[in-house]
Amino acid sequence: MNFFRWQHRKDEDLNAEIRHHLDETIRDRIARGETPEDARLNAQREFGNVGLVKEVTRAMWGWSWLEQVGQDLGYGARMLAKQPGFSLIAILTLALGIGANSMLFSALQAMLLRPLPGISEANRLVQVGRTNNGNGFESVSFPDYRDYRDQNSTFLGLAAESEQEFHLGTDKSAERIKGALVTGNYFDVLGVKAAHGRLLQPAESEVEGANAVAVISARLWRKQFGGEPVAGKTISLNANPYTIIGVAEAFQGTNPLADKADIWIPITMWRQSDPWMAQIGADWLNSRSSDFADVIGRLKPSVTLEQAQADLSAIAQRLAQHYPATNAKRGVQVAAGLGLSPNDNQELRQFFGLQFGIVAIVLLIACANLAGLLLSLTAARQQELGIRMAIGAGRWRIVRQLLTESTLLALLGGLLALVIANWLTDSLRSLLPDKSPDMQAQLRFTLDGRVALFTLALSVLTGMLFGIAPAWQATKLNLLPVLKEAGNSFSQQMRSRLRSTLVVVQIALSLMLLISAGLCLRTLQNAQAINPGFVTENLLTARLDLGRQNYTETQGQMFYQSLRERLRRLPGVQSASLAQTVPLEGSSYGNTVSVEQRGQFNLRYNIVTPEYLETLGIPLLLGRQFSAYDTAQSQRVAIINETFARAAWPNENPVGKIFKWKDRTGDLPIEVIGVARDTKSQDLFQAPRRVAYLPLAQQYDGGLTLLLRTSLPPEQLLSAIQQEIRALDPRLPVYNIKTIEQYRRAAFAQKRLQAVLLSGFGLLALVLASLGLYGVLSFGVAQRTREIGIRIALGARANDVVSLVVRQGIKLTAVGILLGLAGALAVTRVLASLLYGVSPTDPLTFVGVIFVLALVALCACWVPARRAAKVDPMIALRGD
Amino acid sequence: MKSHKKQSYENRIELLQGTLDLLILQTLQWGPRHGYGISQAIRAGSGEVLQVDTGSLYPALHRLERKKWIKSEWTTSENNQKVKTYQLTTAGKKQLAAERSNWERLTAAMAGILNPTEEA
Repeated sequence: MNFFRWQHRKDEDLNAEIRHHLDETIRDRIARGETPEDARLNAQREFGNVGLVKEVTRAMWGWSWLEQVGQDLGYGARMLAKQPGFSLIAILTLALGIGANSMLFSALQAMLLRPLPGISEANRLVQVGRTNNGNGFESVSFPDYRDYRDQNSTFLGLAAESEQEFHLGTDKSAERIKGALVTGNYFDVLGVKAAHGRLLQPAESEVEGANAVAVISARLWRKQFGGEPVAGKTISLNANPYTIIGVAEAFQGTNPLADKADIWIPITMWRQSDPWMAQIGADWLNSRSSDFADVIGRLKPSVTLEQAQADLSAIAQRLAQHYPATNAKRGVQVAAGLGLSPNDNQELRQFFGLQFGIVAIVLLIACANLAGLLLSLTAARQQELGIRMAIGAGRWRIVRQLLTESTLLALLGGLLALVIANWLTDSLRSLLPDKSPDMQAQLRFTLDGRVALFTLALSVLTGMLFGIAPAWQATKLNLLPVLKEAGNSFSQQMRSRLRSTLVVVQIALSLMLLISAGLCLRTLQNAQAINPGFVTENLLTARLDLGRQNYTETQGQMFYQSLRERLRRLPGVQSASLAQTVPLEGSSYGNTVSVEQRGQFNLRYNIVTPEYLETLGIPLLLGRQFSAYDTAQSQRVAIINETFARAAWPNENPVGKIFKWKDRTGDLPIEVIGVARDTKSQDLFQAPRRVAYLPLAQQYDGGLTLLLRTSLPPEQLLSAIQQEIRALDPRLPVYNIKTIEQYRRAAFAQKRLQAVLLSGFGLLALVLASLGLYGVLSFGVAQRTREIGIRIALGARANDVVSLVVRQGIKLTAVGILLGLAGALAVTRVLASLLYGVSPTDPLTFVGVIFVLALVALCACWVPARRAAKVDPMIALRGD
Repeated sequence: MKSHKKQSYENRIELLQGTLDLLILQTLQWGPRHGYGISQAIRAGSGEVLQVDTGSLYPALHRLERKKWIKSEWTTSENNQKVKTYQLTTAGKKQLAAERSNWERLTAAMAGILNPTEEA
C-alpha cells in the first residue's frame, strides 16, 4: 500500500479514536449531571493537549521520524522560498565552498584513489625498490630482481618492467607510443586478463632476443586495428618485426600519473628496443650496477607488508655479502601501491593536503558567513519559533527543524557545487603543465559514486555546521518576553556577540588565505621575472629519435646534417640546430671530468650542433664557436659556461685549457674553445650549474631535439617542418613539439596554479568576510536605532554617529587581523617549499594584505555608518 | 498537576511503562474494550487511585499493538459512532502471564525489603 495513504488513514483512525474518547467522557459527565457545556470543557481539560497526545502516539508507529523529516523538509522549503534573496546568496556561497572541495576530491580520486584499470586485487600488489644507505626508492638491477624473485617465500610472484617508448611503424608512417619491457610473469602477477589472443608467458622472458612478441592494449587495438583479430599479425617496433600475441583487457600500465602504456614486449628484447644503449655497451640484464627494473609483487594470501619486507631484506643482505662491489650499501624497500614511488606519493599527498586545507578554510568562511546571516534571520523568526515552542514543540524539535532548513540549503548548494566543480576543473586544467596529455585528459570532473557521496556528506556536514549555532541560539530564548513583544534584551545581546565572533573568524581566516595568496603571487611574479639567460620567444622544439629507428651513427649524422640544411632554408626560420636536451625541460645529462691541478668536477653536458648558441641567443664571452672543422677526426673540443670556467680556472683564461672527459673507453682530453654566458639550464629555479657543450660531430646521440629560432609565430611553421622531416624519412615519428615558452610556463605551472587558486579563494573570502562585517554592523545599527536617535536628539553630530559605528567595525577587524596574523604565520610555513624569492614572513606582503583587508573592511563599515548618521531622531524615538 | 510540556509526558511514560502495559493487558483479559473503557476500568479497578493520562494511554496502546500483544478492531457503537476496540492476542496472554509473575516477584521482593520484621 502507498505509504502516504497508509499514513493518512492511520491519522484519520487516531482522530476518530480520540474523538470517541472525548465523546464517551462527555456522555459520562452528562450522565453524572453536568451541563453539556461544562461536560465538554471538562472532558477537554481532562484529556489534555490533543495535538500533543497525537504527536506522542504517532511516535509509536515507527514511521514518525521519516514523516517528521518530510514535514521539516516541506516546511523548510517553504521558508527558503519565502526569502529568495537569502536563499540564493546562501546556495551560491555554499556551492562555491563545497564545489572547491568536490573538485579537489575528484582530482585526488583521479590521480591517487581510483584503481588502475585491468588489474585485479590491486590491494595485494606492492612495489619493490632499491635503497642506498637506507634512503631513496630506486629501480632495481635485473640480476638483483632475479634473486628476489627466485629466493623469496612471501610473494605469489615478482614481476619486473622498464618503461619504454616505441616507434610503432606501418608501411607509410610511424608513431611514438608508450609501453614497457616486461617479464613473462608480468600479466599473471598483475592479474590482467586477455581480451583477445593470449598474454605473455614466463618462458618468453628467459632468453635474450629470442621472443619478438608483443601484447597491445585494447585502446591501441581499437585505434590501430579496428578491433579485428590481431593475434599472429606482425608489426614494426623500432624498425624490428614483432608478432602480436594478444590484447590486454582494459590494462594501460601501472603508473597512474604517466601517459598510458599501449604495448608490452618481453624484457629480454631490450637490445632490439633500444639499440643505441646496447651499442654503447649497456648490459641491463646482467649488470648489477644498473637500475633497470621496476619491480612489482603480489603478496601471498595473509602475508603482510612487514613480512614481505623482512623476507626481501634478508635476501638483500645476502646479496650485499656476495656482491660487495655493487650491493654493499644497498637495501630493499617494499611499498604498498603501484606506480608512484613512496616519495612521489608522499609529495603528492602533501600537495593535496595543502589544497584541502585551503578549500576547507574557504568552506569554513562560507559557514561562518551563513551562520551570521542565519542568526539575523532566526532573530526575525523569534516570535514564530516562540509560538511553536509554546504550543508544545520541544526544543530539539525546533533545533531539528532549523537544522533541516540549513541542511536543505547546503544540499541545494551541494547540487550547484557539482556544476561549479566541473567548471573549476575545466578552467584549472589549462593551468596544468602539458607534460602529459593523458593525465590532463584524466583530470576531468567525473561524477562517480565516491564524488557524489563525498559531496553529499560534505553538504550535510556543512548544513549542520553553519546551522547548529543559530538553531541553538534561537531556541535558547525565554518564551515570555518573546511572546509579549518583538524582543530586544539579553538574547539579542548574545546573538550579536555570536555574530561578531563569526565575523572575527571570517576576517582572520580571510587574512590567512590572502597572505598566502599574496606570497604565491609574489612567487609567481618572481618566477616570471627570472631571466633564463637566453631568448625564449619564437623558439620551437621537436624531438626526434633515430636510435629507435635503427639508424647507425653515420646514417644519423648524415640525416641530422641534411635536416638542418633543409630547415635553415625554410622561410621564417632564422636558425636551426639540434641538441641532446632542451633548456628548462627538467632533465640533463651529467658526467665527471677532471682538470689538472684542480681535481674532479661534476658537470652537466649537452651535445649540440655548431649553431646552438646562436639559435638560443646565448652570448659567447670568450673564444670561438664550433665550426665545420671540429670533426670526429680532429681534437675533441667543448664550449663551457661561466660557472664551470670560474670553478675550474679561476682568474685564468680557460680557452685552450684541457679537461679530461670520463668515458667507458677511458679519459678523453677535451680542449676548451670558448666560454658562453651562464643560463638556466635544466631548472628555472636553480642557480646555473657547471655546463659543457659538446659538438654532435664528435659525440653522437641518436635522440636529439630540434631547435628552431623563427621570425614567424612558431605555430605557423609546424606543418612545413614536419613536411621536411617526412621528406627525409617518412617513418620517423616527430614528438614533443613545443615552444620553449611552453617549457618556461610549465616550469612554474604549479606556482601559477597555486597562485590562481589562492587568489581566487582569497578574494572570495574577502568578499564574504566584508559582507559578514557589513551584515553585523547593519544589524547593530538597526538594533540601536533608538539609542542613535537619542544621541542625535541630544546633539551628537553625524561624524560622532559615523565614528560610533565605524569604531565597532574597526574593533572587529582589528581582532580578526590579529588572530589571522597569528594563523598566517603558522600557515605560511607550510607554503615555504612552494615559494621562490620571497620569505614566508615577507613583511611587504603581510603589510600590503593587511592594508587591503583593512581598507575593504572600512568600506564595509561605511554604508551602515552613513545609515546610522541619517537616522531621523523623531522617527527613531517614536519607533516600536 | 498536569504540565503542558511534552517533557513530563515522556517522563511518565518511562516511569509507568512496565506497569501501565501490565494494567492494560490485565484489563483486556476480560474482553475487548476501547481506549476510554480501559482508562475507566483501571480507574474503577484501582478505587479511583490510578488515573491514566491520555498522553500515556494511547502511545501505550499503539505500542502494544505494534508488538502484537493486542489487536484492534473497528466496530460501530449503538449511537452509530466508529469505535476502535482492543483485545488480547495469544502472544499478549503469554506476555501477561510473564509480566504478572514478574510483578509478583517484584512486589514480594519489595515487601521483603520494606517489612523485614515479618521475615524474621
